[in-house]
Amino acid sequence: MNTIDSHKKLETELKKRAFLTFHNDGIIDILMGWDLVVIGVSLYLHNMSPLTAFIGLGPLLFYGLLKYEITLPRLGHAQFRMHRSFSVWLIGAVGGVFLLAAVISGIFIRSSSWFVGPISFALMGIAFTMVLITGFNRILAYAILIPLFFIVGFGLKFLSPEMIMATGGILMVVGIWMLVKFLRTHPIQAEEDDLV
Amino acid sequence: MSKKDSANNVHIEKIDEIDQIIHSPSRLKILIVLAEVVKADFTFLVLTTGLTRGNLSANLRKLEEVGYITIEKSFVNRVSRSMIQLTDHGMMALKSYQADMQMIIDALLSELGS
Repeated sequence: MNTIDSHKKLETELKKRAFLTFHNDGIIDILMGWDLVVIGVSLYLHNMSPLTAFIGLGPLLFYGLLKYEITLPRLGHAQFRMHRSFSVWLIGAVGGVFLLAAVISGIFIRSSSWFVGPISFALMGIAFTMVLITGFNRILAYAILIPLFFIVGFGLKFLSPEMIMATGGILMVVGIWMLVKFLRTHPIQAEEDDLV
Repeated sequence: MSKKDSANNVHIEKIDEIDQIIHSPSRLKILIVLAEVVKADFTFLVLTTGLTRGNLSANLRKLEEVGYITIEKSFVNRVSRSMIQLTDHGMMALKSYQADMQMIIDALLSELGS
């Protein structure tokens, strides 16, 4: 293995390790679980509207703040060199289009039976833009698989509101358990204890 | 002395010239991590290198003294945070160390092979 390859391998290893530990805090699991619970409840009550979309997706707006306040002080922060290829930018642009489609179709949705469109667009949009933000191409596989499962599930009618609520509930419980474990494993240590 | 013997002596003498600042497991770990990121804070380096906070702190000071890294201290929510970055001088020193070690290892392998 030549020097350039070994550097790339090490950088990928560091990024992968940082990315995986970065998401051990359970925050994304809690937020995604909450989204699924709200979607499930809305479907159950036949009440899909922009308000329910806001209640479901609104907490995602706090994702960055939660990471900044909870995770970064405990795991530390590193700025990686972001070599974003053209394909990653293209994926991000596609994600932006999906998000726009989600917003537009969500505004004009009139019937609960058409919710699959906006939700699928939103999930694809979030997942695709995550590839751009993280520069981590591996997310693309999940970006395609998870919404596909959602669409196929409703298409084949094996997904029910109760199942979605239950899945969301389980995700939230798992996320909370991960968060508690994370807080115990990574206490904040003030740098003034150190000599630097 | 044969040509081969004098070539081997050159490589043995090269060992004396190895950068002793970098030639330490702790500092080498730190520099390798910093070479792969733009900058990193103290906590990230603790978790990535596996060094204790005191050990990391002492080694960072040593690296800063010779100009291989810079340390920027700031306050975030009234908590101090140090961001550490490898300097150009540090990167050159690391590359030079890598080249020297490679030369020595190649000579050793060649010697073992003969």
